[in-house]
Amino acid sequence: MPFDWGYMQRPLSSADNKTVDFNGGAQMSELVTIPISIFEFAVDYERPEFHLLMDRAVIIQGIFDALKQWDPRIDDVDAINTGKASEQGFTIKLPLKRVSFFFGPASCKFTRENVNWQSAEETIAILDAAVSALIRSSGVAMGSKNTAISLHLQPKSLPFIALLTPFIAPQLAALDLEPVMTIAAVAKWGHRKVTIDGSGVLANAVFLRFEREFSSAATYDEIAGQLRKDEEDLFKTLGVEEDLA
Amino acid sequence: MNAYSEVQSSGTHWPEPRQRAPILEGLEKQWAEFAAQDEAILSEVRKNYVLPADSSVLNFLTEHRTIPQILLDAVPQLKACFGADVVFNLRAPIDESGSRILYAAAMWQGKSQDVRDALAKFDRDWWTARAGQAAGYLTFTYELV
Repeated sequence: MPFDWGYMQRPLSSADNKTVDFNGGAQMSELVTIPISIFEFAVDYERPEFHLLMDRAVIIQGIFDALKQWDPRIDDVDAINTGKASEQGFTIKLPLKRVSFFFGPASCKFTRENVNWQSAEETIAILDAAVSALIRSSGVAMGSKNTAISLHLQPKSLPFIALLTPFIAPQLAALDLEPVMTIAAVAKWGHRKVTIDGSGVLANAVFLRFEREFSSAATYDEIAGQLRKDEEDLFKTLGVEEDLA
Repeated sequence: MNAYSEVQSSGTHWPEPRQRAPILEGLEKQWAEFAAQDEAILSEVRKNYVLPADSSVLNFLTEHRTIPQILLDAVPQLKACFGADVVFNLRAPIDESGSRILYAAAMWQGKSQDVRDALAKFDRDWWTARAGQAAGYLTFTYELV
């Protein structure tokens, strides 16, 4: 019973070639696939509106109708009546689009999975339809816009720790003789946060999450443009490039 | 493998397909439970093996329901034989007879003799006694990178 068929063997190459050079070095970026990607958009209202807890039918109807072209189903509307007052509200899902939209008395949150820049226009259209309908039917005043993109990046040839190694503080690594198995780095600014971690969901993958707060006046196109630039900058920092083949 | 405890998923629970006939509710509930178990096992497989971007491996694992559990059972042995940081890729190519076999391949950056030794140890210590469970649909191998 030969298990070692060797059918996939390739000529041995030097492991030394498998390094990533940062800051625009001469070496090529590591190609990655992105099996999991999530976009989140959340807004706290300028002040809580308690009628969103009491008179929800009109608002739900307004949002449901606004999402009509994406075929919402009544069974994909869930009332959340447990938890703190701020956690209660309604969620409308569009399973085929992997979209979920929650609104409560103090905030609303839009989530879409399997996002990419090719579908950004559609994502914005669904987001705009849901948020605009919420504003129209409830009269809430929106505060600043909080956005986040979460990506699980699976390198094509490198072990994931090779992408994380530049973020390991030498004094931490020196605490033990064994090599560091994984590391997380979190950087926070006034209106921005970046998390780089190993993926807890996929084998040999890096988890990247970048969050940014925008003013309430920011347009969706401005937000998309900034987030795309943030992603490009972070990919350069990580030394990766998406494999679109 | 993550180091930071922050949630890495969207947290959205997607609905199961709607149930239609009351007479089938029990069966459908049971079916949904099986589907949830299968999904949980597949999630674990994705934590331990790298799957290709296309759906070939996922389709294969869905069609061969015993294989995902064998893959998970193999993980501690693979780590013991090949090393904790070795990455294993899954591939399900179509062979010349038109059928698919799943290959779990260690991406090996070291010497070829070392990986041959590791594979021989894995076969001897664990796989040979269990290969029959996979009915010839699963092969552990390696790829030099």
